[in-house]
Amino acid sequence: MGSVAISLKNFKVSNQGFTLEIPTLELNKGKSIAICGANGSGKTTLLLALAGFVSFEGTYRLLERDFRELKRDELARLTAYLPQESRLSLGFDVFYTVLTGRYPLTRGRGYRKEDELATNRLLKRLDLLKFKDRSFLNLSGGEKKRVLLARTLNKEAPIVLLDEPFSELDLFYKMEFLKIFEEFKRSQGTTFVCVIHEVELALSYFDLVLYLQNGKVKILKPPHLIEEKELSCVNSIKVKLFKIRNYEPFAFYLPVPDKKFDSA
Amino acid sequence: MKKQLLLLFFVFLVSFFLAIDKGAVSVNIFHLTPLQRDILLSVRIPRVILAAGVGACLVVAGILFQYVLQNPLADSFTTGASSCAALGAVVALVIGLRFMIFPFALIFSLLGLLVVYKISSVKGKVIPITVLLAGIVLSTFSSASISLIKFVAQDSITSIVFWLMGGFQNATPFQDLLVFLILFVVVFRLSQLFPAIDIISFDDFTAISSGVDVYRLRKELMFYGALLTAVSVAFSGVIGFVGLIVPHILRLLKLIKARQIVFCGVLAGASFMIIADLLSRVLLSSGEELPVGVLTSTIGGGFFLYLLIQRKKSIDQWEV
Repeated sequence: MGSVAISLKNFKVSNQGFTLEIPTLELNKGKSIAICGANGSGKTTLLLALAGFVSFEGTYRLLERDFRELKRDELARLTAYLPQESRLSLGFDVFYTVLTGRYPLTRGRGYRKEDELATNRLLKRLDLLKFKDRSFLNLSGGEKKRVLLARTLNKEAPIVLLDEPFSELDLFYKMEFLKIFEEFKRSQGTTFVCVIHEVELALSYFDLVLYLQNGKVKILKPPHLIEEKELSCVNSIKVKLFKIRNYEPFAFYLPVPDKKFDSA
Repeated sequence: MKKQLLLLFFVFLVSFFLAIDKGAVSVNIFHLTPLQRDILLSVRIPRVILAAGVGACLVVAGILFQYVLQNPLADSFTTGASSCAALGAVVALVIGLRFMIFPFALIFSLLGLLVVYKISSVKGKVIPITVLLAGIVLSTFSSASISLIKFVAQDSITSIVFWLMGGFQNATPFQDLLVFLILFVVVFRLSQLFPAIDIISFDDFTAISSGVDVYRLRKELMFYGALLTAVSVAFSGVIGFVGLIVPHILRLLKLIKARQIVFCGVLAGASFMIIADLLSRVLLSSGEELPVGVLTSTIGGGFFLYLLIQRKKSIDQWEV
C-alpha cells in the first residue's frame, strides 16, 4: 500500500448551475485537511462528492484505488462520514448509538464482543461513559454532536470526512477532539477531511488548508505558508494574523474593522 | 430484554388459556363433554390462535411502518394500508373470487402504500405529516369505493357487510396456519436485519455511509408491512390502531431497539388481541358479540388523541 490517501485530478462536480473545480489535490495518509470558505463556496459539495453521494468528473483515487471501482460496502468500511445535520429520530441509548458506527465492520452478522469493547474504550476516552445509558434524544445539541462524532470515529475507518464537526461544541471539546484526531492520525494513520468555519483551528491544527470561493480553489497549502493578505482576501474582511514564535504551528487571527465601519 | 420477554410470554399464556376457557359457552378444560370438545377444537381454539396471529402481525406491521416512515403515528391503519387491503378484499368478494381475498388485499395494500410513499417523499426523504394526510385521503377514498361497490353490487352485499365487520368468529385452521407461517417467515427475516433496521432511524447520509442500502431496505420493510396487513385484513377485516398502541407502550417501557421491540411486539400484540377478542365476546351480557374492530378502534381512537395531546412526552421516545 502506498501512502496517498486521497488524490484528485481535474476533479469537477456540477450541481444545479453550481460548479466545483479542483485541478489537483493530494493528501497523504495520516494527514488532515481543513476545507474553509464562505457559505455556499462548495465545501459541503466537495465532502459529499468525496463520500460518494454526488457524481463527479475527472479522477478521484481513494487509498490508491479508482473511486468508481469501489463497491458501496467497501466504501462504507474505508470512509466514515458525518453530515452537517446528522439526525437520529429514535431514543437509543448513547452506547448503542455509538456502537452502530461499527455496523459495516460486522458485515451484517450482528455486533461482536470486540465491537462492544472498542465502543466502551472510545466512550471512556471521549469522556462520554457517564452518558452511556442516557437516551440520545434527551441530550443537548452539543452532547448529541459529541455522540455522533464518537459514532463516526468508532468505525476506525482510514478516511474520516466531517462536515462542520465543531459547530456546536464548546471550546474545551473542540480542543479535546482535535487532540483525539491527532491520536488517531498517529496510532492508526487515519486521514481527516474536515469542513470547518473556525479559521484559527484550521490554521493551527491541520496539515493542509483548502480555501474555496465560488467553487474555485483560492488557497491550498500548509497553514504556516498562508499570509495575512490572502486570508483577508478570501474572507472578504481584513484579518490580522498572529504567529507565536517557538510555538509553531500556532496562529490566531483577529478581524479588523474597515475604515468605513470605523468612522460610522 | 429477557425479563420483559419472559413476562410478556407469561401474559400471553394467561390470556390464551383465559380466552379458551371463557365465552358464550363456558367450558372446563379438564372435564369436557363431547359437545364442549367440539366447540373448543373447531371454534374456540382456531379463533384464539387467529386473534393471536393477527394481533402479532398488526403490531409488527405497525413497527415496520414506524421505522420506514420515521413516524410514531404510522401503522397499517393510519397509512391507509388496511383500508386499501379491505378494498381489495371487497373487490375479490364482489367478482366472486372468495379464495382470492388475500392476494387481492395484498396487491391493493401495496398499491396504496406506493401512493402514500410517492406523495409524501421529496428526494427520497419522507415528510411525516404528509404521510398521515396521504393515508387519510387514501382511507377515505377506499371507504368511498367500498360504499360505491356495496351500492352497485346489491347481490353480494350480505357477504361484504358481514366480512367488513371484522372479527375472528369464522377462523379456520387453514387461516391460522397461513397467518403464523407469514408471521414466522417475516420475523425470521427481520431478525437478520435488526442492526440495519435500527440504522435507518439516522438521516439518510449517515445511514448510507454506515453501509446500509437505505432505499432497498425501506422497500423491503414496506413490503413486509403490506404483507402482514393484507393477511390480517383478509382473514379478520379492518382492525384499527393495534399497531399504534402496542409499539408505543413498548417504547415507553424502553424497548426501543428493533430486536427488542419486534420480539416483544409479537407477544404483546398477540396477548392484546386475544384479550380484545375475549372482551368483545363477553362484554355484552345478552350473548351477542361486539365486533372486535369496534372495540380496538374505540380504545385506539382515544389513545391516538392522547398521543397527539401528549406530543411533548412522546418526543422523548421518538422525535416527531
